[in-house]
Amino acid sequence: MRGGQLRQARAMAWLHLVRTSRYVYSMANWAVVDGLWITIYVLGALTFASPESYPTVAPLVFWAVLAWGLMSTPTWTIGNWARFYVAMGVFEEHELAGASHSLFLAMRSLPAVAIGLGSAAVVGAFVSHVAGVPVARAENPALLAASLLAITVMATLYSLVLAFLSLATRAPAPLLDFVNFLLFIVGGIAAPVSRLPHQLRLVALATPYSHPAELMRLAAVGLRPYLPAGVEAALTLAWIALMAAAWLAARTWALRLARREGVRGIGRM
Amino acid sequence: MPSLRALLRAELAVQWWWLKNNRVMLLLSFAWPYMAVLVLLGMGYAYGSVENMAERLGVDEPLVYLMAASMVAFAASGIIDNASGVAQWHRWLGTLPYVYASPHRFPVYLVVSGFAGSLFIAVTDLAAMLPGALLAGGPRASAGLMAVFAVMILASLPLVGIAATAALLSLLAREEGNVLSFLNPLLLLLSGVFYPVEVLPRLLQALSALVPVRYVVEAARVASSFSGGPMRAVVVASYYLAAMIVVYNTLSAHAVAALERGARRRGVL
Repeated sequence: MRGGQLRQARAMAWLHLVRTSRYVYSMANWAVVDGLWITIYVLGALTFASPESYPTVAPLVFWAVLAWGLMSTPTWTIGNWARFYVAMGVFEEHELAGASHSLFLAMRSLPAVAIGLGSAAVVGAFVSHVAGVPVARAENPALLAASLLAITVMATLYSLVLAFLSLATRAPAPLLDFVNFLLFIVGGIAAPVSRLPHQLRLVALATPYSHPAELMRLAAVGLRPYLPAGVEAALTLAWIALMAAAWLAARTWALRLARREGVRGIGRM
Repeated sequence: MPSLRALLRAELAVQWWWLKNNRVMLLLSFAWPYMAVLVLLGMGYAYGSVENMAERLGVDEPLVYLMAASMVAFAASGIIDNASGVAQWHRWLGTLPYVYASPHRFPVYLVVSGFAGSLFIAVTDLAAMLPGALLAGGPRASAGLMAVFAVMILASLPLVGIAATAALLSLLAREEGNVLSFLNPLLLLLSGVFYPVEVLPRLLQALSALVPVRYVVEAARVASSFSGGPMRAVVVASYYLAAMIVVYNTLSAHAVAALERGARRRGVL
């Protein structure tokens, strides 16, 4: 059974990569689009700060918004793909072949990562130019890569939850994705946990993305995390396990509903 | 042949029925513009102050301005994405030949459908934001928001030809999405929706004057300052936009005709 899952994963990854290479222009375009959107918000956030504070604030804002990009891109590439998946009749094909819906959707994280890195390049170049300081620098590249990977894994699991909720509710996943927005503000992503008001600090510590985001800031600009780095790493792993459980629950509910009542079209947006 | 009004009514009905049959989607559509405001405020408080932002943007009512700007960011140049999205959707579903065989010329259908989609999003955003504006700034702020909405609808008219061009180019390229999707965030970036245009590099500042959305943003600023009124915002913007409607659509009419011929020759349509 485990070997079968591995074969499926390899086949699905290969298919998604073939599709990505076939639509390479679309993928590049997507990265530019994401990069431009992120830049709009970064410039918007910098409007609140005084230009004298840009050397310290601009890198923090850049990494915060980049983390948000990594959180939100899979919502589109994985979550919103459920709509395409149903509209094209691919859901039924997978169901009949006994193939894993989750694996097929999760493998969309490969193009998501490519898009995330491409958009980071766009934002980094643009914001460095506007702020007059290099924003995409890292003090500890290995820890930075690990923290970004953790954010990507969490975002993939969350997007799978959204994809299955989207199947069940028929609302497109990006519309369901208000949690990312809320977490961005109160969850220790937009700003370091230490800069939040006291009550919000407690909220941030009780949410998933704040822990890898604190590690990301430590690795990128050397800002000490609110909790010791080891505790932040342990909490990151614990949250990944919890989010995996949420994905399994959403999958069970949505598939049970789809098998009982049939799959229904997901709204356009 | 049915009138353009009938076509527009049919397209609006499609949008309406999607939402009417999907209450979750309707509720979430109302929540989204507020999320963008919250993100900017959250980051703004963490890295600077609202007073700083109000001074740099030259607005007296920053919260009302952020609401208007959020509405603009979500809906201002949506006609390009909507026209392309409709064309791609019909291609995926295999209904493109039926649409092409309908009495109206295909570019006309694309434009009307794109306009209906963006009008619907704009109306939803306005309905969502009006109570917030009323609470934050009273009846004057609500009137300002309606003035911005009127300018936004006017500003989508210069983009009609570009929307049809984007949709036909996307069909010809046989890519998975809108090949000109970068235009939407690029136009917003150039318009200075959440920041002063002066922070952009000089070349982009010069290009910004050619972007219709820039005048919607200007209208939002006039409507959010005590020195201007809602009607003044509409009048100032309409001079520029009227000229753009003539110039842009005259230029793109030839491109649309050539692309339609190309699409027919290659068997795309």
